Amino acid sequence: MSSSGNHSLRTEPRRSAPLPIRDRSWLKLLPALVVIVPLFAAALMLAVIQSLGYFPLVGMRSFNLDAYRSLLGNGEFWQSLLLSTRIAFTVALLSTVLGIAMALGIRKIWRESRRLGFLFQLNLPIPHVIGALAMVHLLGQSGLIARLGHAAGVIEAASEFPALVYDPFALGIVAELLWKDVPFIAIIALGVLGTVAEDYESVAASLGASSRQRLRHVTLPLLVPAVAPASVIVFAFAFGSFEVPLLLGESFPSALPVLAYRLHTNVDLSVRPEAMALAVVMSIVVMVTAVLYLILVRRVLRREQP
Amino acid sequence: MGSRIAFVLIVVAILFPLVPLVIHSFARGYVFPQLLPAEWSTRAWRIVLATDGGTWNALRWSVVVAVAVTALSLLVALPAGRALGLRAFRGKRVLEFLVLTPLLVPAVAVAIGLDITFIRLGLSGTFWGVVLVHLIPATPYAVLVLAGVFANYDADLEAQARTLGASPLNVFRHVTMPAIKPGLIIAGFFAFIVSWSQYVLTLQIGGGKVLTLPVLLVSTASGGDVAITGALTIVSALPVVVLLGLASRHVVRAGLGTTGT
Amino acid sequence: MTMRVDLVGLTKHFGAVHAVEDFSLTIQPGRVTVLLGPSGSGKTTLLKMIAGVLRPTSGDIRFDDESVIDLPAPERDAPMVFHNALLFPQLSIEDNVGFGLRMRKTPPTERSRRVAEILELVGLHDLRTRRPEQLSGGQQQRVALARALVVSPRLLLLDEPLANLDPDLRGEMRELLLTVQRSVGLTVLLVTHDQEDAIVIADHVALIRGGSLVQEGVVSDFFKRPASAWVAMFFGAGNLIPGQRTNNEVVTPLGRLRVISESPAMGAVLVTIRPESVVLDAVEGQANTFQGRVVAAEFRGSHILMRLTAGGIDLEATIPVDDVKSHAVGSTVRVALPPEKLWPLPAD
Repeated sequence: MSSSGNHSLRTEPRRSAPLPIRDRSWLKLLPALVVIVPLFAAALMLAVIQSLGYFPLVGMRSFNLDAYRSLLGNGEFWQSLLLSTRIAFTVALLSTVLGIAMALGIRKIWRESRRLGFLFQLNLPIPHVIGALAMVHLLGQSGLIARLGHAAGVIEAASEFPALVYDPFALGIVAELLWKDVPFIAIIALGVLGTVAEDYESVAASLGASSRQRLRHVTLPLLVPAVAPASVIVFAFAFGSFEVPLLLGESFPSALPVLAYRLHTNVDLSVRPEAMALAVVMSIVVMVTAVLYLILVRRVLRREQP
Repeated sequence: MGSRIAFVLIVVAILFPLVPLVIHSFARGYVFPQLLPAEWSTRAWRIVLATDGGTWNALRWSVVVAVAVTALSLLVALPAGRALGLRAFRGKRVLEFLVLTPLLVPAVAVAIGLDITFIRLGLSGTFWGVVLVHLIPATPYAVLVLAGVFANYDADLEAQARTLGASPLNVFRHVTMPAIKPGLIIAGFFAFIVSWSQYVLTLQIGGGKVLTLPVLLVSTASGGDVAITGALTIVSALPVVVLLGLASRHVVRAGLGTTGT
Repeated sequence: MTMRVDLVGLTKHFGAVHAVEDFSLTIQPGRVTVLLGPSGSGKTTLLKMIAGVLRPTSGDIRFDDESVIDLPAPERDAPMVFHNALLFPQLSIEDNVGFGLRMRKTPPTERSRRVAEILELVGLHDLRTRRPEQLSGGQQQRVALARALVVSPRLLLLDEPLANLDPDLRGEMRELLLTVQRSVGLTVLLVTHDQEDAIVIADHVALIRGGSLVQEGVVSDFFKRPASAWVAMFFGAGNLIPGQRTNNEVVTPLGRLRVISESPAMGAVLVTIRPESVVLDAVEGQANTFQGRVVAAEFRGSHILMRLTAGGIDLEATIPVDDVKSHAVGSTVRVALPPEKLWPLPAD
């Protein structure tokens, strides 16, 4: 007896053994590495070299740590570091939580309608420069919200409206970054929710898991591998963002990138190595944070125990 | 039902921040506490869209640079994404992270590091200099998206085509390309957006000569004429939003393809 | 433990798509019922409705005469096993298996005992601390089965559980399923497109097509008494002879054939006969004989499939492997169709 029409295709999960380093795949990575490595690594290396005092343009030819000493002794550096770190953590944390919440909230609609899905991604391509300017005129003291407050009779003069931009709490900066990053995280989460998560949740439900249990034990763990790298990117971006603090932040203390730029374009060239040192420090902070974060996430995932 | 309410609220939250600038662009003397402008005017738009103004020049710069960045980054990202996504290999996760690093490091740091050298190399203030630096943040996005595409790709199809006698070029054109086309469009879209949005890299390496829209926008904003700023904002935002519409028609559920985590 | 399930007029529409249409079936307690059908026939949709994961557009589902339509999935006690095992990636094998018990707040000591027991049963106790990605497809499937069984369910729902397994593993899994089912007397509903699953383990088979029930019964019914030409073809009946039937005779291009059959189909019919029942080298006096010409002979492992043509009709017959020499391609052969093996179907 031959079985009818459809032959059951055996699709085993594709798990090939790890390939030896000699495999040609590495060669294929070369073009990308050629672009990224020289340019990017060069940028970093140059910053390092120049930060160590090798700056022929100004006649510095020795290798020393003066720039770093000067930087670390600069009070503004520490305040800017604190500010940028605070902004980055706040944005990363809030965008992850809100992004996942948003994804869970609109799951059903996302599945049903493609056109509606497009609306959620609307501000994704909009440059941060525009977002920052938009926030100025939305949240500023003479911005739209303030005017709504006036129309509602809550305030009389523009100065009565709380300072949401150019403020010490960097509220405007955080708002702009959240405006862009919450949908970003949401869409990444929806990528998982709309595909893989459904079947797992069905199985879990049939095994007796309530909706809250499913969320905690199935859905969220499934989201972590996709959302974690995304939140690292969000953190790094928020930390290194230049134009947003430039347009929405106080002038003192500036965010770290703004400070770096100021040092770099300082007429006094002897300050340049400090700018380089700052560039190096910023890069190290971001990288270390990213690595630690990802290791932490991996460890948390592994240790999910009853 | 709850889903619908959430949906409406979210869409409003996404669109709302852009409203003030739009209103400003069509208004005259639109100061606090006016809610709706007392006086509407197309002055700002006439100035911004003027053929002898700086807008068209900036638009051209932005487009040309972004197109070049997109083309180059895709060229480079295709083999890289394939290598990264197709098979599991030792150290893959490390490589993924390395590919991500140019995205993580602040653009300012890159700009500062390369500045003097680019001046020395004569790349500062040139089209190619700006394109090169834009490639640094743009390529990783393209690589990651394509790696995600290749993670779901069955290379056996190509092997089959080759046993049927197809040349490598034909295999690429008729087997590989159609399968990865949606991913390619998304990757190109991301690369374009990254380049289009760049500010500090263009500011520093462009040296005042490469005047893309973001650079023009910031200097216009510091000028204080909000109406003109608003109009210019819309001009800067519209092209990429339109591109989003086009790209999402090809692939609906876009999002950074995770490389089979 | 044994529970009867009644599906009453189940319908599911996804917008304009009618996935399931007025489907009624009784799933007998303590038996393996196989829901068989081609891809896209609505069988997975039905399964999900029974599990409570999908809400029917209309109709009712009863567990032991009690409607469960409004009962949420976690309370239905009808775990599902999918064709991809769907083991939770962040949990070890033990924790995966113990998942359902943990959700029910079973005390940890009892939980580990039951988990250990079931892992022994499926032969995977040694791998209990491993992660899902470290197991092969077949092993993962066994874990998924263990995960469903450990909660002592009333009903077990399987969606193409063998589809991703190698053929040799499939046999093992079928054995395992049967063993477990029989020892516990579990009510099982298995959904598949592979008729071999049905043949080997089904106590009862329901054939579904386009969301509707086409035929149900024991496996042999589908072979001996297919309800329609489509059913016959689905089960590999290669022979369909058009003709006009009056009582015990059918006028066909092969001549006037005598028919002994309970089939009610009259008038324009398609007469089907299984390849195994076609007689070659018919002797004198046998009913329904005619001359046919051999077109091809195909080796099928356990038998040879002979393709013949006669009166413009293509026929298939099977013969034992050693007999091929006597029927060369192109030669004529005397064919007989035993009247009691003929089954007329309505020519739809």
